[in-house]
Amino acid sequence: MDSNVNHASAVTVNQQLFKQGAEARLFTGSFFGRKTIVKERFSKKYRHPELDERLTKERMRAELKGLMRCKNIGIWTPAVYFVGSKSNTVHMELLENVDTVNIYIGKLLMGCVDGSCDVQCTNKLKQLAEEVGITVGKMHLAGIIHGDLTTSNILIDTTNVENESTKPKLALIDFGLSHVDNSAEDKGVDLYVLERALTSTFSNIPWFFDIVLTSYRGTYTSGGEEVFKKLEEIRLRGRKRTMIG
Amino acid sequence: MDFDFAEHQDNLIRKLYTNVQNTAEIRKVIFAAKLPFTLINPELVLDPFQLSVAMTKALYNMKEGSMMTRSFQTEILYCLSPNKNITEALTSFGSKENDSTFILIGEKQAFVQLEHQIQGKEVPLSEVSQFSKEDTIKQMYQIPNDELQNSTLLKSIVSRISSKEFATG
Repeated sequence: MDSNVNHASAVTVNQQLFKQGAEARLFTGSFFGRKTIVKERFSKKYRHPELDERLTKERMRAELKGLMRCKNIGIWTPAVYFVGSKSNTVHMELLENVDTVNIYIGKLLMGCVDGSCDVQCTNKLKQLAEEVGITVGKMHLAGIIHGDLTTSNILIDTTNVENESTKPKLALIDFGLSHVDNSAEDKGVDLYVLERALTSTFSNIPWFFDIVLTSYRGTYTSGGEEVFKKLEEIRLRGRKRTMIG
Repeated sequence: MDFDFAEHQDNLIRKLYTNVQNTAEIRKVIFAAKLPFTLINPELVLDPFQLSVAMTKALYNMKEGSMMTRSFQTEILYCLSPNKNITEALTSFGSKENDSTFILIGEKQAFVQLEHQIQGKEVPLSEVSQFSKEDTIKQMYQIPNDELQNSTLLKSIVSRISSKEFATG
């Protein structure tokens, strides 16, 4: 009966681990019939208990804040269904029929002979690069710094990806290190992390990131230039600021 | 999971009533006898799933001893709200005296005391969207049209409900 609330099958978490990261474990599950990802931030025994508790809470807060802000400006992010504040778990929508951009580029390149792209593959990559630039530009325009902008944290909808006339649809995930700031420095670091993620795995398509930057600037017209200057500096010195002087 | 939701199985009912002649009276009965029921304004409810999300949260708060209101009944109303203003939550999401349509949530065992007193027509809860007002909902939950390019209204609503203590402020 639809007037009854069936809590027995309402919220489930599969015991089998889906993914394990440095900060959290991911499980799959369900929430009132909808498929979920359950992200559980675990405590780190080597940290002081109070510090550990605070960091874990801060990251969960950052995660939800960043995710909701991006959603608010029209970026595709998973829906949030339940937050367990005691166990530091977030039950969110499982995005289906998606690849990480990392895996997707790999698949595209694998279809190309000896690593060189054919026209169709090149077009797809160009479209993807453009969309990545637009998405990151939009996010930075709204003052959101992702904090861990790797190609594994950008997802692509694979349902309509064969159709060349439709733009790739991208989602952003994993906002645990995100914060709201308008500093060009932090935005530059976001771009730098993305560049490193791309060039370290796909050294044969160096033009990909150039297209990302062009469309980034096209979207983030007010501050893109300043961020580029910072990016140049960061490339010379690395992600972390020098402690000298 | 933090606690076993199965414990609450079959313990709660959710019903949608329309053309109710005596809402004021029903409200009085509930308050006077302190019956475990909440009456909700369906204008702000898009889908039964929205209620499920708020009820799960209210149950969790009750179990954890972190309720912001005095009872599970009012906690559901508070959980439905996108912000932390309790008074506003209760007045916006609770039904009003002259409403002729409401959603009733409460304990199954106690329902016999109330059921025969409701002078109205029960309709399946799955039809709640007939009574909801999308523009009012968008305004209440502050959902801009930009957001709906890559989200649905329902997903945006429930995301706000579940993340409000963390994502706001």
